[in-house]
Amino acid sequence: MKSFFSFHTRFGAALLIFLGAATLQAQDNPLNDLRIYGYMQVLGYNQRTENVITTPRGTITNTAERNTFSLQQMNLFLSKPLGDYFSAFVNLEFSLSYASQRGWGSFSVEEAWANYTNSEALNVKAGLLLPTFNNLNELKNRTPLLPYLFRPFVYETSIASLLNAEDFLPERAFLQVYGSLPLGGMRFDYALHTGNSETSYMASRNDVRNANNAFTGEDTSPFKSVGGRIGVRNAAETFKIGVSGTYDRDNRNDTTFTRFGSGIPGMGRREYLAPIGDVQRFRVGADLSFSLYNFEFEGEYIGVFHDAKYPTNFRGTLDKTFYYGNLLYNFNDKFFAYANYNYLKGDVINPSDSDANGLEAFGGGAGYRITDGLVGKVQFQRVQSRASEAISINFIYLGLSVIF
Amino acid sequence: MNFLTLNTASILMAGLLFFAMPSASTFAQSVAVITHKSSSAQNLEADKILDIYTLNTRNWADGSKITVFEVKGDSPVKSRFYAALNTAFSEMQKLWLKKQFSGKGLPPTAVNSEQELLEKVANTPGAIAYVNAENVNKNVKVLATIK
Repeated sequence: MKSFFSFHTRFGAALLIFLGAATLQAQDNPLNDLRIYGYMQVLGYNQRTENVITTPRGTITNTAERNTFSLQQMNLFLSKPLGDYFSAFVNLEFSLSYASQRGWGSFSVEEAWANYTNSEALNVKAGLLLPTFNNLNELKNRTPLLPYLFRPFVYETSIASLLNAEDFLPERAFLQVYGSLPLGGMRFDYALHTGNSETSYMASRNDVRNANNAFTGEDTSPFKSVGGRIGVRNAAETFKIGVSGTYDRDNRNDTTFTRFGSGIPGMGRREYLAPIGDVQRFRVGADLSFSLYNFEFEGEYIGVFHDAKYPTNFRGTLDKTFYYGNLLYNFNDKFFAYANYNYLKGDVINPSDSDANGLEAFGGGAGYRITDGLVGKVQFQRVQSRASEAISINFIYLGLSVIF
Repeated sequence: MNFLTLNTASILMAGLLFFAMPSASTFAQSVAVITHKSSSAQNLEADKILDIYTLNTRNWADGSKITVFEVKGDSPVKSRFYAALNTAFSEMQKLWLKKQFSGKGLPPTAVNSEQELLEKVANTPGAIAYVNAENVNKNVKVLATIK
């Protein structure tokens, strides 16, 4: 116990000395300025769930309601220019009222990279990074930049236990070459990135199958992810359009699939192992965003395609589709309102249900910029599934984004 | 009655003209885009200035780093400058935040007054800023003037 405290005391002291030294250095030379900044989003919401089960004898309806408050997310950034051509950036993320002592939420190093800028046309980012894919992948966790509190399905981290975002998005990469070239009065953007395979291939503490004796957090497979985006935008980014793509492997070696029989929970349900293997996966994306007068629109499409040989007892598909659109109106510099829709089709929880009609969400909300660093938000969102068990969930959110 | 109606109309017209007319300060203030005296940059066009303020361009042609300064708060000079770039300060704030949170650049360094701004530009090689053209002094170099 003593050593635990002494380690933390020493670590804390070292951190303070480091930050203090950086600040002192910053005063001497503004170009070496270490900047520490971040944001947090706190919210409270009401969730009302209705589960309708259709049986040969009629329908059964179950309802449940809950209210909660949460520190949805807090991010801390450290950035530092390292001379004229290099810079460093660290993004630390704490989510869902993180408290390790109480077993709440999570903490992660989302980004830690160094960037080399040769010119506008050539930049190289190396380290742990969020790869460029469509418009929202790099911005999904920048909550003060988003008008809504509940993000489009694949970008919403709070439903990570229900939906594996990696099935749709490249979540991490380690090297990205990117840049921008003049194209008439516009700009042509490009980005190419590479990184590890998906998370299920990574060695973890609980992994008993780590035949390669990899350290935790390391890739146990020979596969790598590659991808990129090309697009066109104007300088002020009030118009932006692009297409994205990735190629990697989907780990489907030991997935257990469930198939419902009668539709009555616990009856007719069968589980079986359907090893499909290391499946080649292609993600394709398209994005469009623009501002016109007081309106702002953003929308995306993601299609996920697999080159898989399915076992005979598997009737679904691993392929997936997702799209969303958000239309916002600025009444003035302070007050805005919006409406949005998003749709997802694929194996949200259960791949064998992927032939169902998918999952959709629609709703709207409003926000008020109280100061430059403080935005109040409200949102109504209805999420509904039309699978064999029809579930609908109504959310009413109240939130506050704070930039510090 | 006719006289009264005419009079009322005249007063209304005069009132409308008064409120519709831009203020004297909006007319009067030319804006100068300035840099450090040692800068080799010459006569910047509006699109190049926009590229700098949108953080698309972060280095001068000679490779040296661009440092952007800006006076805090709203002012007619600020409105005029961003209008000349076909954008608005609020739009730029959103863009700067996006770039800052993505590690792709930092917003301009904000100072309290034009006097402080002129001193910063005079003392920082690679600096760029905009000021009321009437306040430009011999310690800085003018790259463009918005009239």
